[in-house]
Amino acid sequence: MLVRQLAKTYRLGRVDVDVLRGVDLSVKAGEFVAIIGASGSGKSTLLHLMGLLDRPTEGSVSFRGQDIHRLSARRRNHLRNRAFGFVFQFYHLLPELRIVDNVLLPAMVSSSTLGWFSHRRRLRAAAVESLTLLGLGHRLGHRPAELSGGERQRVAIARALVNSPEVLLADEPTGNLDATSGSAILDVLATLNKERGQTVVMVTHDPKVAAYAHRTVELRDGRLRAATG
Amino acid sequence: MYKLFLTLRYLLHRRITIVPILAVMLCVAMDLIVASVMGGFLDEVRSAARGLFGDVIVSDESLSGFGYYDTWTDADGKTHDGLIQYIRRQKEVAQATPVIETFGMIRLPEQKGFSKPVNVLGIVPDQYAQVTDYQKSLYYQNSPNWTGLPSFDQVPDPVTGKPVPLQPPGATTAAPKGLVLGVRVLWPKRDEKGGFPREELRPGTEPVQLTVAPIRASGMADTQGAVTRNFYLVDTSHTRIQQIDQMACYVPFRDLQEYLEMGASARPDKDGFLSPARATRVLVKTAPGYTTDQCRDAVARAVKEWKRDRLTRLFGAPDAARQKMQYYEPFTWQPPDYVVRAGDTIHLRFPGQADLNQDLAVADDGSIRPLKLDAAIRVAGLPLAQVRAMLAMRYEPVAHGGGFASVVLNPNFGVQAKVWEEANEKYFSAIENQRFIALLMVGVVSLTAIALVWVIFVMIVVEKTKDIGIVKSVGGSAGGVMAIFLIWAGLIGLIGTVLGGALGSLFVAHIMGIEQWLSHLLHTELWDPSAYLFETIPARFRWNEMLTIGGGAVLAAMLGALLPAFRAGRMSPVDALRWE
Repeated sequence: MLVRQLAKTYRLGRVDVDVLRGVDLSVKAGEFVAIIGASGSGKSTLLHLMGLLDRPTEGSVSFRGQDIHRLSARRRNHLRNRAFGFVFQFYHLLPELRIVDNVLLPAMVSSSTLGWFSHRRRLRAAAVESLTLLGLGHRLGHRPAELSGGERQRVAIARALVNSPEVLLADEPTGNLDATSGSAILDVLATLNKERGQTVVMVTHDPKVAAYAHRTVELRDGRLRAATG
Repeated sequence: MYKLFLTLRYLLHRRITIVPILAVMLCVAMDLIVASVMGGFLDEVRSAARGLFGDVIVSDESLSGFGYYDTWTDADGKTHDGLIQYIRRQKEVAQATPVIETFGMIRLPEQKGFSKPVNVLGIVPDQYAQVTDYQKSLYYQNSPNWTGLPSFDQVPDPVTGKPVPLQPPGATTAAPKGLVLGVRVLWPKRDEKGGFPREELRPGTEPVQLTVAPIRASGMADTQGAVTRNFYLVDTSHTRIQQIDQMACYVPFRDLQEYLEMGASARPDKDGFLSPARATRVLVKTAPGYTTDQCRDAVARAVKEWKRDRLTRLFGAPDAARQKMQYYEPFTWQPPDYVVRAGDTIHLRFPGQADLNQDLAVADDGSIRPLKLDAAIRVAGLPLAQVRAMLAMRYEPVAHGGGFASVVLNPNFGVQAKVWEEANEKYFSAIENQRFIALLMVGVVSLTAIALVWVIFVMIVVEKTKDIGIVKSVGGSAGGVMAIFLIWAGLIGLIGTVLGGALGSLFVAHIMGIEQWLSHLLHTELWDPSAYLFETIPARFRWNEMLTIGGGAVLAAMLGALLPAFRAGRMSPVDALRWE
């Protein structure tokens, strides 16, 4: 994944705020990269642009040699569904759905009604296995409101992985968790990277969290630079 | 797949959904009730009209009637078939009967002060009963003990109920005549039990005086020639149509024909014309296995054949007739013995004298004012040939060049066969229009349901903004997100339709019970049969109407959700996820 001269300007009232001012970043397959920076430095914006959740003002994000922001809406939806998996700070689970259904949501998005009914059992078995590996095998029928923060984040990870994405994008995955739960989540990400070769791009403001990554870059004044310290 | 899955989850877990479902339910129920009651009303009118008039009605739409409807005898004493014989020969026809309709007054001498205007129908009762539902409307002559068809000359035996000859006590005439009155002529209101005391009437004992005035060929009533005759009431008729039950007076056809001077003249007049017997209508019943349209077409063929044969008889042969008629094209030919009346149009044509050609309307006073003649000429009531002769004589000095050609009448006038629906078209279309307007008004009221769905979905989309962001972050498309809300609204419409359909159909099924319960509760009569055409609220449920209303409700609900759904679909994923 190659980020070149990526810029993003937000308009706040009458003022243009340059959040990103020409970010360059290269992420290799199987790499675990941490992006650190102060609050409001544009870390999440960068992650959203890399994961096609937002459109850049300038610059490009290349994935498998293609500038993904120049693709059609349909192709961008497809990449969000298949190539990228998101883990958010606030979990973002659907409250009406049981956790197994939350995990299966990306698989449902990529299936037609007919396709879903023919692959439902296999997909559900995979979701159950994934949740079991994350220690939630006994919580399949629960709703998100019945889970702790750490459990919810593990559900979010399982959901992000259900379509076997090439890149896992994690936005402050431990930001809303206590130290124990946060550490457990980071262990999961590290294990995925180590054992499955899962590419992970993680945004955090905490250097201790960033220490789980192979490489850390710092976002400051809208530009990336190698992390110090 | 996710669209349907999420829609169902939202539908089951969001209680706010109940509000638009209830709104749609009430609108569907309301629409269905209005459609059922108005449709029921129309069906009742149609069914009653069909039962009263038969399947096909042949008439010239005048009160003075038309001739040659039945067998007739010419000046040479030869007998010819009339229109009814032509009609009865059609295989599509089961029975045909002549009817005379006019207005009159009745008086019941034994009940002082009882005097009422009535709609007098001269019928041949046994034939009339085979063409219409007349016998079903009778009380004694429709009882299980009454054997055979209805009659004016018979009454039920007080013990056995079987028909015996009419012999009123103290009757002075050798052959007393019977008549039948509409039930509300005698009892305008129902009694406390909700019925009419028809059994209290002793058939053949109550004298009735009927007064009718002849209708001249011009269409005017001849009040000086009014006739009063004595009858005995042999039965009452209850058709359940208010307007008919309070006006109907059935009398023997031949008697009414005689009173109205509509019978055949015994000998030719000074011009050698024999006036034929007249009837105002011929009613026709369709034979089993045929539709009324097939019957109507067959009757129309018979009417055409009847006209052609009369023409042939007058002119000698069809070819000769056509030759003589050649000049009259494109006008429809009327026979020389046709009696001219007010409202007709007389077309005068003069070959080689085009400036004299003229179209003259016969005025209400029965006169025409031809060009170049000094005075008006009175023509109404005269046979067409006589009018022609008069005009020829007056114009002869003027039109010496090509000579006077002829007189033809308004082509739109004449005997026509119509299906019972066509004959009452104006009335039915008025009811159809009322029904449409009522449905339109209810439809407009139903727009509130669309507005409600719109408001609810605006709220739902705001509430579900974060969910929209989540769905989009895992690859959900704008169309997919929009579809979630549209399917949701469609399901609201569908559930509302099912519930509203059930509620509406239950209401329709028990409408009279509900009316009685409400009347009892409010101490007032909600449905007053005297104010309406029917005695019960006519309502009937139809699946096609239910499906139309339901389809409309589903579409309306989706329409209400369209804008909020569109807005949801256009949301950027990151904005939706950040929304607080």
